Amino acid sequence: MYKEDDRLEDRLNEMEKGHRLPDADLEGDQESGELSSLVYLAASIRGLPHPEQRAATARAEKRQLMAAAQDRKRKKQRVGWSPNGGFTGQWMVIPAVAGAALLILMAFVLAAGAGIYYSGPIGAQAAVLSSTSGLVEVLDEEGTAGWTAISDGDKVKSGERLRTGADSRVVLTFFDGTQVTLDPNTDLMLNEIDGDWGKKLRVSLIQNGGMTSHQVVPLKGNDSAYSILTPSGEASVRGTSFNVMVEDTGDSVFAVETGAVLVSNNGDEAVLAAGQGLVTELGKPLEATSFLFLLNGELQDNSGKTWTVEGVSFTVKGGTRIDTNLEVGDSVLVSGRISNKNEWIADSIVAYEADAPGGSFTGVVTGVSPGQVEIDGNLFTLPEGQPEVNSGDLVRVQFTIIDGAWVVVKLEVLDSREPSEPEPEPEPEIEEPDEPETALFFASEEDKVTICGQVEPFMNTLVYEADESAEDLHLSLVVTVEQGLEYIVDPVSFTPDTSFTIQPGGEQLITVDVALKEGLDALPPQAEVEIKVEVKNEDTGELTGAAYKVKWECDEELPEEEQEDSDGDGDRCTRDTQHPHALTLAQEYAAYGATYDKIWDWFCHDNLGFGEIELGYKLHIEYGEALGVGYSPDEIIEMRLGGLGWGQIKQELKQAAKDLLVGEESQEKVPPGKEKSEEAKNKDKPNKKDD
Amino acid sequence: MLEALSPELVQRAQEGEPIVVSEIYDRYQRGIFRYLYYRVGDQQIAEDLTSEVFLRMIEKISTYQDHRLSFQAWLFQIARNISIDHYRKMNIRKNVELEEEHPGSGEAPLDLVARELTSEKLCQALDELPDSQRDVIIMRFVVGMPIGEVAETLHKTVDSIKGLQRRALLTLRDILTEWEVNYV
Repeated sequence: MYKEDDRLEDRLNEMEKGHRLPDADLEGDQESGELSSLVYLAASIRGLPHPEQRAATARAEKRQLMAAAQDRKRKKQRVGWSPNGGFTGQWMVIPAVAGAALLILMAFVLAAGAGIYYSGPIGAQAAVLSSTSGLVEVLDEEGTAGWTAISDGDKVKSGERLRTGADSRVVLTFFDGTQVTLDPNTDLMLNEIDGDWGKKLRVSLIQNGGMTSHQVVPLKGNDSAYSILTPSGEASVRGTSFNVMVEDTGDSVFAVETGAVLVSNNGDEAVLAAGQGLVTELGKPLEATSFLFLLNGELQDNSGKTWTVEGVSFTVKGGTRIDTNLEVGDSVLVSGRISNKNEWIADSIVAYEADAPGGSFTGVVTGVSPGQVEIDGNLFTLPEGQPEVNSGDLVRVQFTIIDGAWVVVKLEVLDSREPSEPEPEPEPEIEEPDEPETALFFASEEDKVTICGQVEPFMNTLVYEADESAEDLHLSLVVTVEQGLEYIVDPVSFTPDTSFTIQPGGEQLITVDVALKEGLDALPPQAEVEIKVEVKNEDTGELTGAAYKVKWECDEELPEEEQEDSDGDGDRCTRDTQHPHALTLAQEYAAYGATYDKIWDWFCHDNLGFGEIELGYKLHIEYGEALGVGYSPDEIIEMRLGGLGWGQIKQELKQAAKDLLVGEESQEKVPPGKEKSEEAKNKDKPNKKDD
Repeated sequence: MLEALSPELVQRAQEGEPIVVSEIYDRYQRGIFRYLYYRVGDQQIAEDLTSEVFLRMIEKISTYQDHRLSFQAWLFQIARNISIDHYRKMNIRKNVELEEEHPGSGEAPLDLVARELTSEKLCQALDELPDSQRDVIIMRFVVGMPIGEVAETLHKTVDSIKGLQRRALLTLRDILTEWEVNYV
């Protein structure tokens, strides 16, 4: 028996070394055949695609682990008083000749009643909270008391951890006046807060998520330090104002307003000057620095990856922090970076009301003429009284937008950098590695399925063509209904509906299935349903570019009595008998005020489909009835007739429900788009009745 | 096979250097997760237990002595203990060694449409094995541990692991054959 165990192990080792597997058929005796089958089984197990931990979970776990390690390190290094009698940590090595000083120090410590730690100036080992809004919580060093809410005037100290909830903020002030502001959903560990006589501050923070803004008073002495560690980088400063944002992926954005910040990651270092920003990514070398921008004004386009505010287009990436429920027409504030390719990339977009649209950014003067200046190719009107600038100067400009023209409010020449430095010559070398040479694509990019009956699932294959040395990709699908929401149930189902891994040379079968809305047993004539399938890289949070659309449509002609009324004389409405679908809807939603005449009116005079009419009733039931929002089916249909999309209507209803929940004063509701509806009706829907 | 952790890295990890801890996590996370996945058969639970393993590693790393056993074996001992604790808490399975019994006595997997070996079928089949046999299969052929480290982890001799390995493969083969799952 032992001999067999050894023989098997030998064969497994051979397999391990890449030797050819034995041919079971050629094995002479039964014993050898059995051995071969076991080796094959082991090889099969070895070759299986084994499950992987979800990338987001693994990243979060790693951050937690790093914070725990840092915490442990800090505790080990802390100067402490051991209950066993004596100092611990680095003070253990104090030489005997310092014994007298030590005694004095001990006496001081004991006399001060601190009992545990050496104490510097009063308040040096704590930060005080102010401007608290929303929910701000602290976790004590041992974590025994759990998360506890705190507010203005409370103090936090080394080893404690702070977090802010949604719509919550807090400002921490250290003893020398240095301040850090925590934005909503921020998680910050106070690794070290310490200080010494002479306004010497030592602060070490670990930011696990969210956004912080720092106003650091210039540090005094060499033993002062202020640093902030994120999962992907560390910033050290001597006196500056800067912001740090940690994305869900662990990637971090460092942005400097004034002064300079040293950013390090994986042994790389970069010094950021005022107006510059830098993104650090987990396990990757530092990127080139880029300039920052701020832009406020009306959101004009928020579709796809390129958004527009006040005529300025910028890129929205997976990690961009975006306020919920932003819609076209809202006033927003965008902050971001300008890449070396002059691409404006948003880091955050929030709702923001300003007196006038405008913004600021740092760039290079590319042209000067009387009354005008061109910065990075953008032309500004230059009022009198601004400093003289020359081509090549690095400047920071604040501007306002008047009738589409950019007018300089303040122009500042930054003399801390060489003018020619930001020139884009070296950019191909720097940027090239960022261009993903993705070989990820769908076998079919667009497929049209003509079907007038039940909609069948559609399958496609995602292909990853790459060299074996390439890394596995951790992906997920993003599926969007682009057309036909009135016919199908949203969300649609698809597989895989969780993140998946694809290896170089591998393929993944993708299935998209849609279900027709209740009451529809087939896709009606002239109906179209279009669904876009995109692929997101779970590691970067960005879309990969691989995408396809699948379109189901029924190109059958409408029955004669349902065809469009091309000449507007009411042919569409000419029937000898009642339309069965309208009748069904009227009966089904009679309790909500539906009548055959009303539905028929919407169908034949307002050109609404039956699916849309039904959706109006369903939305009323979901929001109006269940949540008491108060929009009647008629008002919801009015919104639709006023030109709002169903997605926008749903948002409006959600918002109304939310407002109701937070107890805001109920106001006279005017359904958005109603005015437009009236206008539209006057224009081309003369027969709409008032109900 | 993973390269052993150098004594210098171990020492830096013991000092609590986040960057080294991060490197250790990167190196062993996949193996630990897979081991736990095949032990518990549930993605979410395996993820939670993986997290617990590494936090316990931070907690206990000062007690680790590299002359006694490899770091990987030590870490998998933590993982094994945590999975045993999990079962003990959940009262899902017996936490003692099961008697070796006739293979294939359990129910066949529900999905017999595709008769190829998949990770799901492997998971179901491993569930039929005694704990020690299952550990050997996972550590050897899923994680890719050398037989010596498997022996260290399970506190057994290399010869006994060889015996367990052969019996485990034989049992597994018989189960898969009975379920008509093709593994060649």
